Amino acid sequence: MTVAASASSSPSPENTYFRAEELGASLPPLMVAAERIAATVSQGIHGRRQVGQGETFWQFRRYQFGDSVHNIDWRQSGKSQRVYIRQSEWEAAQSVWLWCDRSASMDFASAPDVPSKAERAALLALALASLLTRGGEHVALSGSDKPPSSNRAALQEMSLALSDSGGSENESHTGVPPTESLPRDSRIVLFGDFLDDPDQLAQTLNRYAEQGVQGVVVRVIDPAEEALPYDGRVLFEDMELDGDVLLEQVNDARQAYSEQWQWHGARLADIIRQANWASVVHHTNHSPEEALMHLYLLLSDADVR
Amino acid sequence: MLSFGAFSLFTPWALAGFVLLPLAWWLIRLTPMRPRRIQFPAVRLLAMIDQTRSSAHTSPWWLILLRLVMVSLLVLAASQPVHNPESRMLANGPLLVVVDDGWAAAKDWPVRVQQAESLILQAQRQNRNVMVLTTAPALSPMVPQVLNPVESIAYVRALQPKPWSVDRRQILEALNHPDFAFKTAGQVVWLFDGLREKEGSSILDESLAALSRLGPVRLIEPAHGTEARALYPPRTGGETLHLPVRRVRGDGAEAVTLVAFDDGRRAIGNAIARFETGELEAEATFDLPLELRNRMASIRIENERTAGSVVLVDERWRRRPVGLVNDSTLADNQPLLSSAYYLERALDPVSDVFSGPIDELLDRDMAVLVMADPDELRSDDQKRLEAWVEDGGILLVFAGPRMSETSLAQSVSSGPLSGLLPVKLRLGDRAIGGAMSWRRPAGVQAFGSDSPFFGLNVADDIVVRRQVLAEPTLDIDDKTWARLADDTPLVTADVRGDGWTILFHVGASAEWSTLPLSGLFVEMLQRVVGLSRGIHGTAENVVLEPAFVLDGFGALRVPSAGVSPLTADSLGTAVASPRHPPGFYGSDDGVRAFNLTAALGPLEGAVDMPEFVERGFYREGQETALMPWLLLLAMMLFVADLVISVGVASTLSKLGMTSRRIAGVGVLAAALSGTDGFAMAADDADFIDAANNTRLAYVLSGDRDTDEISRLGLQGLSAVLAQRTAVELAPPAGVDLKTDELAFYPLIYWPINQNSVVPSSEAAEQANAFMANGGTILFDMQQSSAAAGLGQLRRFARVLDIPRLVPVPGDHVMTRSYYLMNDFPGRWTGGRVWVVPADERINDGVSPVIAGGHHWAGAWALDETSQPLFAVVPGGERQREFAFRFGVNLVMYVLTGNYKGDQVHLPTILDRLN
Repeated sequence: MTVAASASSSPSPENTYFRAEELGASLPPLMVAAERIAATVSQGIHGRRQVGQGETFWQFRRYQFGDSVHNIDWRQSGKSQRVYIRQSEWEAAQSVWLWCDRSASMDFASAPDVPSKAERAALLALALASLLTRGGEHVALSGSDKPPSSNRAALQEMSLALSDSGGSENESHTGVPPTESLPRDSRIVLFGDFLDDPDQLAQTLNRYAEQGVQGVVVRVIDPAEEALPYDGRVLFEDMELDGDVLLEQVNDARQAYSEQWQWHGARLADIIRQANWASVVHHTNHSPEEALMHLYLLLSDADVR
Repeated sequence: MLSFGAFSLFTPWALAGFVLLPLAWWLIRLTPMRPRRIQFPAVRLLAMIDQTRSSAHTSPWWLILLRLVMVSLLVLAASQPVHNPESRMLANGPLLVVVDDGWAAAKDWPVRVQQAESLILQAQRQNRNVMVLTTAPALSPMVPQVLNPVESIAYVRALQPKPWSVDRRQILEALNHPDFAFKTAGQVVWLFDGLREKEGSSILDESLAALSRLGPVRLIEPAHGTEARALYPPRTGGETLHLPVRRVRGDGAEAVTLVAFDDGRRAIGNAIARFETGELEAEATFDLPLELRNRMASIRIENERTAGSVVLVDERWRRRPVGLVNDSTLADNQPLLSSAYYLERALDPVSDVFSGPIDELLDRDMAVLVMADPDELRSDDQKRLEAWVEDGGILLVFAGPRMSETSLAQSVSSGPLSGLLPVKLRLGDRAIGGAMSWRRPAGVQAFGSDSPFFGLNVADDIVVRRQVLAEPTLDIDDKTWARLADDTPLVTADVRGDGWTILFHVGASAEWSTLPLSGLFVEMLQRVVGLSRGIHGTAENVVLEPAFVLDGFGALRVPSAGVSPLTADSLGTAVASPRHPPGFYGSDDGVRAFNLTAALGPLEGAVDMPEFVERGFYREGQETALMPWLLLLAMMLFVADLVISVGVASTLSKLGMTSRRIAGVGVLAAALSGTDGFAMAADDADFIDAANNTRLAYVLSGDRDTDEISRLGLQGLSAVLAQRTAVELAPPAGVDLKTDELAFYPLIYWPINQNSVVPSSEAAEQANAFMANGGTILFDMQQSSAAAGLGQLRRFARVLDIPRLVPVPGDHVMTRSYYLMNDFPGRWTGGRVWVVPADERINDGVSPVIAGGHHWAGAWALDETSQPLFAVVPGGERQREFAFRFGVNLVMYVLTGNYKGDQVHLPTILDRLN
């Protein structure tokens, strides 16, 4: 598999971009199922069943004074005594916001043949973005000032921004998604490890819910975080804070850690369910297609859950 | 000093340190190693774990083990262990080293020199002088000399074993020598060769007693069973050559391989002498084809390099072809009374007798032609015969009724062979004694010293009743080799060019005389045949200059200036000495072998020794103190411990972890699957390699030499194929029929000899499948006599699925698949080659079995410099070329099938055949 084989190569922006494109190419263009689409959104592919800007023919209407002469359909008019103008359907696009956790803890890979979580999250985000733009939807990176856009150049910019190691200033390093105000009825997809206090996530989701924004939480997990495959006397160093933990015998602590881990996962799942969001759990040693397919199904489904 | 085996401890009490081990163990367990540091994202979750449950920290078991080993090494090092300890010299005074440097010492000479050196070094450490005595005679008598250790080491290193026996009287002489400086010696060490003087000799005991008066005597001898063995000159027994081998000790059965070499140092055959338990003498029998036997120059004990393990072979032991002219086409009605019968019986022990019409015999290469009562020859035969004699042939003629009659009827000069006989014959014959005569049948005179028969015993009961007479001439006396009691010539001979014509004035049957009935007749014929061996001259006291002499290690060298000539008659009795080392003596036109062992009696081992002698054995290796090594090892472990426990580089520990994991997986895999997992992986690579490269294969016989010959042979053939044809083969592969996959090989070479074991049923099954699926097996019986080989093949055929075989028909594809050829020589030739009759429907007409006994691999085998390894007989390099051609044809046949049998090429082939 090309993806797996190239997974360990260095994550240069172009590389990630092309891999994301490759990944997205296996799926048909994604049109986000939209219940309601904000009035603000620009021209797109979601027909509104009313006259408006669009490509698709909607109806002929009698010419009225004030209509532009350019809109007269001469062929139709020639068939009868009246003059008709041609009207198209109003087609609008959904905008989807993507967010990647780029805190230090994401920069972790337990084995040389497993990609780091940050790498994998960026790959998934870009692949999703690629799919969406090909579906005519508008995509933007949460936290950037760029408006949602559906052209390829925007995708390139996005890949550069995702690979930018520092991250922008207004983004926290604690792995908590920002709570900027988003247009109503837009969607957001959050990629991250969500290892911090689940309550922080709960607050964020509540804030989004107030705005009427719904979305998906993608938990990117390294296999070692789940299994704790170490033994002997080990000093675990925190990657973000100065909270080192010394385990005298990791074997003995594994059971307790496993319980702790499961409790954490359950708590996250609860929070997401309460916010009526959907969640995807992805392990970095699994193939990214799997997660992408899951995301695809979730986003294209009329009933987001 | 505490010693066990080759090890000794000088301060054994230091071992008490081992008591501390449990204490060390307890301490080590308590000090934990530094934790590994791992960066981890989910530390927040780890921090929430209740840690009170975690057990007390312990060091991993391997760390404890490492530290315990370290402590043990220190304790062991403190006890000063020594490998191969020398026993210490105790008494004061100089060191006297007696070195046996006769032929028997060459067997393990480097060990002896090493031993002497280590003794001298020890003397040097203790500031003692050294005197070295050697026991083998030298050209100049030995002068005992006291040397300082440095000089004596140089002296000992320069010593070489001599190719003659030791003479221990020299020790006594040296001790009584006026220059002998010692009154006492600190230690006398005798580097003994394991052999006593001749049986019943007391010289050894006497010299030991004399030496013991100087100081304590230590005798170092070869380990039992490693003493030198002696190989004695061969006895001829008809067609075979028997060589006795003797050893010193009869413990255990033993097989000794003898190898015969030609004068180019190429091996031409081998034989095995088997000692049974308790036997001191064994005999090896060489049964070689005549042509090979005549090229034999020396026989050696394999892997033994002493002058006593070499027997040089000269013409005496070679068999020459003798032709017996037998023109009569009619069957003799009294075969047991015919002269041919007597001649054959007399000549058979010393030569190979061929009988047939003269023109046939002249076609072959004969050393001697014997004609009994010859008839008139055709003139062209006569001319050829004359030319042959001029060329060095020996014509031996026996008189008979026909000869006397024709000479009676015709003029004197035109009898049969008249031009060729040594003397002119008088008309008629002469009867001595009989009913009408007073005279009694004549006896034979003792042979004169100028006759080649000189020295043979003449029995009194030989009588000659009838003979032909020579015309008396002036030189008849010089030409006469044997006379009757009344001085009439019985045997006359004449030089003709390089050859001889010899006339026995009596018949070869018992009709005219009783000579053919006597042992003398056999001996006389032997001498005559012996003449053909290039030993010219009749005098036995001819002086033979040394040509090549043996050195102490049994290698032939150019003789040094001190070597004197031997006389021919002393060859049998001379004892090897500095003046006459064993070797080849004589000039280019005939060398005689002088062997050390010819005058050597049975080997006498030194079993009993006087009690005052301390006995020891030679040892490989010198004393080595082990303490520095143990300390070094402990140091290395300490550094490793430091690296691991301090964690100087976290990568190191990471490496350690992964490698342990890999090792664990490996062990697990091995435990789960035996070794199959690994074997499969290795097999795959082999299979890919085998499938990508065409190569010839040979069956591994289990005998190293045979396998090596097969490998080299196929390699040589592959090289020739690459040179001459489009076939480029990878290096040949040895296959084990039982286990290896055969499907990759087009042709498998299967050498079969007496030692070959019949393949097991699995192996046979594989071989059968191989043949059934289009493979070809070349069975090579490797014997010049096909009958024995076919017996072997028949044994194989019981388990192998070998179809009916026929000799290769003249129009077989193999005769024209690349070269046009009629027979298929290898190292030998003349035997038949067998194939399965061609059936175009099966395997494209390729025979699955090709069998023969020409030892093809031997002919194909080349060494690294592309020189042939083995002689081919009888044809020389032309035969080798044809052997290669056979190989090329064979491979072509196997690879291309009946392509060349295709009628399309017939016109061309016919054209070339005509």
